[in-house]
Amino acid sequence: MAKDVLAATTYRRVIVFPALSHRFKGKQVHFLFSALKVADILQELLVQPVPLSPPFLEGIAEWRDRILPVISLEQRLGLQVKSLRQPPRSMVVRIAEAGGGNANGLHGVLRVAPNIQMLSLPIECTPVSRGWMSHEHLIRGVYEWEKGFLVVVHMENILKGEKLADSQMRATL
Amino acid sequence: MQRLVLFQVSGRRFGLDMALAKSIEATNVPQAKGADWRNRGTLVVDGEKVPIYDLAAIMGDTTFTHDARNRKVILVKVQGRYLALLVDRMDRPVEVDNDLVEPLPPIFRGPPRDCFPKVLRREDELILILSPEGLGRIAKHREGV
Repeated sequence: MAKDVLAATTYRRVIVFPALSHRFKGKQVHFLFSALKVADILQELLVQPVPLSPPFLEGIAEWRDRILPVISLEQRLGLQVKSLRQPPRSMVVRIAEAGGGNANGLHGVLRVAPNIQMLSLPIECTPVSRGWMSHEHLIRGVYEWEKGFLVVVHMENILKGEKLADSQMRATL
Repeated sequence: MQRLVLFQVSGRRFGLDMALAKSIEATNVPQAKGADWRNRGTLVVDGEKVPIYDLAAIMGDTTFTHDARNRKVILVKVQGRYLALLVDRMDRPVEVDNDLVEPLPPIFRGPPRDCFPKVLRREDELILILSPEGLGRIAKHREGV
């Protein structure tokens, strides 16, 4: 019973953090994740680069005996990245695999700004066109809210590397 | 169990299936000054001239300074063709449990997956395991450019 209450409470919570990118149309871009999809937030993580990778893949890291990819969401989405004054945090996100065959699902690490917020739904916001994002298949939705734009990414497509043009990977050669 | 030879390139450790390594040769090939990974000389094996591929240059990092006396060439045979891989130094071979070797996460595609399809978890280190076959494809692709 207690577990159900916790799940229901968590379900209505989201994690929001600013993108490490320049403003768009004068407004800050933020990313939004369901709290259920955030497995951990780490201050420090040893990242091992993988040669020949595209710039959005910072490398791999070990977390709880798993080898996870470390991703720059901003670079993956083609946003212009800005440097950060404080060291970034590492956010471990998970997705459940289709069919529920693997209960643990796929995981990945995102490098995120340290000012992470947990908010409760609903958040007052308005859907806007995602046309200004260069990789629409990686986006579930874009919204305008009081602090700028909220972007909800398609983490499954990102972690599975889907529809990543071969030419994009070959460009690293 | 798997047996791997471990080697270093640009200050980082990599692995290679020991069964693929035909021999390890000393070399006097100097460190690459730029991105030119070709023209590092040749080895003659069974009467065949085998070009030496500079792994540091292929991986895009020639800034690390290493002692030229430790440099070695690992001779591997892939699909009937020899490849000579120039590395900065050799470490000891290791025997590891199969469950410590995992595939590279699926988000990595193309060249990084071709070259490093597997990763070894060893103590506090993640060691990329080199596929000479994948590296050979990349070298061939670059030669064609």
